[in-house]
Amino acid sequence: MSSLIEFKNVNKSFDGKIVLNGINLNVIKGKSLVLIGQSGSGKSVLLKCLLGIIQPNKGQVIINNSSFFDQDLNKKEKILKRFGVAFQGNALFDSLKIWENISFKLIQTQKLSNKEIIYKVKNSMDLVGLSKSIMHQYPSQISGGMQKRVAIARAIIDEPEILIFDEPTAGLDPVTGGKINNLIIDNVKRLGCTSLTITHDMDSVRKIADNVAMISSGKIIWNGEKSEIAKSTNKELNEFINII
Amino acid sequence: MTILLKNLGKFTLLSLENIGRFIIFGANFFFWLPRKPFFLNQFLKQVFEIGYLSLPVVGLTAVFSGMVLAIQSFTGFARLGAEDAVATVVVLSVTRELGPVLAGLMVAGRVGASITAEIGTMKVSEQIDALYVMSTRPIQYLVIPRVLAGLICLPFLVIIGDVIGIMGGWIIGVYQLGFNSMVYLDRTIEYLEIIDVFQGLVKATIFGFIITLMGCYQGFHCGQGAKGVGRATTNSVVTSSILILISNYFITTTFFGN
Repeated sequence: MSSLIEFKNVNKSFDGKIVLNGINLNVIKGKSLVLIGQSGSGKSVLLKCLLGIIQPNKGQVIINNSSFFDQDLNKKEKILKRFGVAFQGNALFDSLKIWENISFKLIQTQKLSNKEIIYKVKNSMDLVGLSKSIMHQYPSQISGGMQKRVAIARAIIDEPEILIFDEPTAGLDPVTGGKINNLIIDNVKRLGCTSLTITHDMDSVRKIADNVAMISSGKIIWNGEKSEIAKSTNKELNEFINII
Repeated sequence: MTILLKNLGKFTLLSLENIGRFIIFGANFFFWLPRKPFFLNQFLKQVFEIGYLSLPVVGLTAVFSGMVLAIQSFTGFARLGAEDAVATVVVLSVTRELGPVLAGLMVAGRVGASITAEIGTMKVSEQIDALYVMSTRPIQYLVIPRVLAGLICLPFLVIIGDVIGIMGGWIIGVYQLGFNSMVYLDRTIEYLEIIDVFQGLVKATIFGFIITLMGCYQGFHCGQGAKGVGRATTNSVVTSSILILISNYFITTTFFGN
């Protein structure tokens, strides 16, 4: 099976503090990888390295066989167009209405008529179970669970090749969290895309993952298929699963 | 002594680092300015925020400054028997100095703080990362519309502030100090030259640039959390105000130094 994304010996430190220490990890095309780890273990920094928000001190991020950081800005932007990202805190634009948030990427990257944009927004809202009545509201006027759905609707609107979810169930009650997990599974399956999810939530791991990797102190300490977790003898992984 | 020198060195390096970052940020603005896309909606929104919504505060500052100036110059000039110069002093002071500087300082407080708080909050809540991931360059979407709006709106605000300030002086001159209205207005126009208004507008344009660019810079470089945003907002207002006062001196020297 071919890798769509490869982290090769990725190192990152901030003010001398090592956050990522030689990360090697493959995200296989068409599969769903879930990255788990304690708070401060370097999960989000790794994600930011993948998206080019943070430049690693050493190492490479390879997307579709070409090194992301060797590309010029225009090519990086072209690569990023293939991503759909739902951020941890949703990162919805406060000053834009819900439909403007969802259609933001479409408006910036594709030349579509208003009719087509509205059609796609409504379709995307349907897919995440959002009522059209909130289309003209602002993010601050809807609940946390709804904001999460809006973030997912925004991520999937242009049917990306790679979906990224950063802590998709953080701060949600178990019922809403479960619904969000189902949404992720449904949409990843529907789009046939590759996904990378970062989470602490073992329920998400059980539902979403094909493959699981665990990061601890900036290193990948376990990586394998979901079914292999139960057989793992890795002390840190077992401790993490049992506590959570 | 060693600790003092160490701290001084640290402060100097930090200051130089910040100046360097600000220069690079400014260079980035000019680099991206002529490049597509231009976010017209964002620009118009900022013109409304920076220009229209600043009118009350600039107008109030101008009218009371004009009034105070008329009273102060009258009481001062009365000692020399030069009360007739009140109208001229008011119009020159307002157009050359008080109009642009006070408008600049008031806008720095209102707009600079709001730009920094908004962009800073966007930074800490990953909205800027989201922009970048959605193939939108944050400098083109957030910085260019704000700085251009600042550049364009400040001169208009100053023109309006000048008129209101002069009217404030006229109200006091006519209704409190007993000047004849026509004589006061004649004196106001008689000694006013185009260059007085022009250099005020040059100042306003430069102040608009300083306020908005500094507001954006501080927002983009703010620390984490509410404390980081709060500190950046304070830095934005203080630094803009200081830069306005310093640049005011140099612009005045350039125009009237000889």
